[in-house]
Amino acid sequence: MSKQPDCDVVIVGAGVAGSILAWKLGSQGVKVIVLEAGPGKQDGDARDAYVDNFKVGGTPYPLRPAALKNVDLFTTSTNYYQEQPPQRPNQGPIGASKDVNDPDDPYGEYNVISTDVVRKGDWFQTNYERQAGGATWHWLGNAIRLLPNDFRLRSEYDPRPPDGARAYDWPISYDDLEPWYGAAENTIGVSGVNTMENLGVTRSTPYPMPPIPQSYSDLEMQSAIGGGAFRDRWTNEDYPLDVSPTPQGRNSVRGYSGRPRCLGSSSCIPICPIQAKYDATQHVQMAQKTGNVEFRVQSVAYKVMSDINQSGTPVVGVCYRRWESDSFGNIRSTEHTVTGKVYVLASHAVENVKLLLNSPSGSITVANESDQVGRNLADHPVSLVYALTDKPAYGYRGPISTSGVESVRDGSFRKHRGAFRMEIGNDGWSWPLGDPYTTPANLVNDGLWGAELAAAVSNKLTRQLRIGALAEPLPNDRYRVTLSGRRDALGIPLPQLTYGVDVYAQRSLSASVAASVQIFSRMIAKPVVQYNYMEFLDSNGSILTDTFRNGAEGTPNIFVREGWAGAGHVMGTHRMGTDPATSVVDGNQKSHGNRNLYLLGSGSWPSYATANPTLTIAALALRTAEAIRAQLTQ
Amino acid sequence: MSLADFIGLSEFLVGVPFAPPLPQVDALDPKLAQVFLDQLTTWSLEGPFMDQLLATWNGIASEPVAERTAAVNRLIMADPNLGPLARQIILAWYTGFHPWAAGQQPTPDAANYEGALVWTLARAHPMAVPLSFGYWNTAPAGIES
Repeated sequence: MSKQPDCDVVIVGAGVAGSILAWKLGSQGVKVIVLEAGPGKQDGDARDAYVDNFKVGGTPYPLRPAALKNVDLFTTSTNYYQEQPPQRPNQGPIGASKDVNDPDDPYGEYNVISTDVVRKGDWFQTNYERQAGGATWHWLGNAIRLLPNDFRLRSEYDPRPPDGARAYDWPISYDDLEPWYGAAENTIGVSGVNTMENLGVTRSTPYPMPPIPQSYSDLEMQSAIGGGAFRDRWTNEDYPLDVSPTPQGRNSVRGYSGRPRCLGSSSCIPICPIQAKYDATQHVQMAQKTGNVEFRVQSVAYKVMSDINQSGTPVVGVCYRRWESDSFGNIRSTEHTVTGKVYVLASHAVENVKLLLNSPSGSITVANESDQVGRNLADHPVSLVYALTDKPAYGYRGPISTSGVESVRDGSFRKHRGAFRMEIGNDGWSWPLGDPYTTPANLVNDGLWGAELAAAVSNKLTRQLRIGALAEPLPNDRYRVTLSGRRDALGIPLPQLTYGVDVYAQRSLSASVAASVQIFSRMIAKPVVQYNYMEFLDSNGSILTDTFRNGAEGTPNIFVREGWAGAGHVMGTHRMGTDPATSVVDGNQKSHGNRNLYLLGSGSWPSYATANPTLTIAALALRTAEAIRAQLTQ
Repeated sequence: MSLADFIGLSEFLVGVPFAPPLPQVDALDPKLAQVFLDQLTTWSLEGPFMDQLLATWNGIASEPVAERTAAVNRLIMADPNLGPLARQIILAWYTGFHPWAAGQQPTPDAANYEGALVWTLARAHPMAVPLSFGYWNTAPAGIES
């Protein structure tokens, strides 16, 4: 006897992947139920509350991570559900000592990250959100396509760094994904112009909106570079440093997708106060309007049930706990199960894994025949170089970033080191230093006051500029998500992360610092660089930076922030591939081991390249929607 | 304790009126001054010294600028109690924020944030306040690029 399923498709997670998939399927008449762990409030009040409580990352006001969550279920200081990144303890210089696996050594090659991130040290500086809309509540808005060679890193370059890491090709090509990129750009609403033809980026459809104007400082930087190129020291090849407009999910046209045009609030993160920037609550609402999608919020999936006695080991249900809290903050939860014909996990690269590893299936856990579930955890480590330019840059105006340097994203150097993408900030020194608040405080502490202070503050704030470069790592199966021995307030195991920055990415960071210093040196007559970390041990990677380090004396005007920052791009934990022995899902993001289970999001990425992942996540979700639709109609 | 004294001291400490080429700010906002006076007096560890600070200022406010500057350095900035409070006043005006007593924080006030002098001196605007499409493509208004 078989009971009729509750719906056609069960989706876990209402972030960008889950909500776009729900909308697409719902609009085709497919009955969908979406489980969302966090709250689902998405109206103007929620937006205002978010802005009021967070302002921007550098705001001096006390951050209230639980602002939108009516209980402190997910947001204590010792778990991973916090919006505020964990406190940053002493961070090791890149390439320093090699005390592998010593959790108390902040300079180890990689740290074991327990739920007690402050005590153990934290190198995983990235977060995500558990609420309807997911991490798009705080994304920057960059909507950049991967490059054709990003899909075939191994077959094109086959890097073999000394730590033994190897690249892993995608089972699909750029051409396979290209139509879906166009569809994703249209439904997200991307403003852009193709500046990447020479990197092989072809387009079958135009951007739906013209590009967002570049900032004043972008144009000043482009003018100062004057056609200069970056010489890669691994290959002695030159790469032009062109400052080009960044495609972004931000309106340059009034009314597209019902959103207003960007009004330059200069506060894209955590959220655009007028929703000129796309966020996935748009697709949550679009999905609801189809009449075929039911969102069950505050519903935390904790176990996927599969039937090993049936062919293809189908998933037969998802167990979840629906939680509520009373006015005293007491949590109550009730047990539920939801069933469908097809199941989709779209709850982010960490939460997908947590759910799978908590789901026994015979002698293993669901979808883990390859033992790759949770492995290859990656982020894009970011080098931050910031400067006081000779001429004013006039930052703190407009979208946080409007331009980047794309040419350094691909080349034969990838045989030796990772690529990088340079994101040029319009936010002064907000990211690296917490300005515009830190500099005035430092000046006051130095004893300045009165007219002298006013002149100094103006002089410094108007000349601040920064470049953040996203570095490319390789897959490393030692960096992974596992289950912690600790449990959350619902009794569900917390995820535990083991993470580090591999040699390939370290070399990329080194090169990106050199390129950033080179650019700023064109904007400063007498550049003096202050390095806040040791050079890389790898001599090839440190040649150029050493040249600048020894080249001038005086008051520093170019600064390299210590270590690296997190990009918020969690990737690689259930990678796709053609071989079930070494990958978790196929090119349609379908589990190799379960005939009706799909895993969505950047967890599916087998390599990481340098592009912000949201657009590719959306394109893959749309492509998977077609595969699911086809499966349902078989 | 006089609001006028607090405003007078604040303007001298933060350098208002700004001199060219700085953007024009001729006076500080009395409403915001009342907010900062109340918040600092209530929440700052040095808040109990506010009366003494304003009385000291009152005694030197009518001095010529050079003598007033020297007196501020000697009687206020070098004082172990009045100096920290004066620096908190400066940071309050510049950033809308100042160090509070440990574990105690007033409710964030949008007026503090939007009235911070850093926005004016950066030739920018308070973040999260919408302006107009594309303004960031050129130098701030009134500045020759």
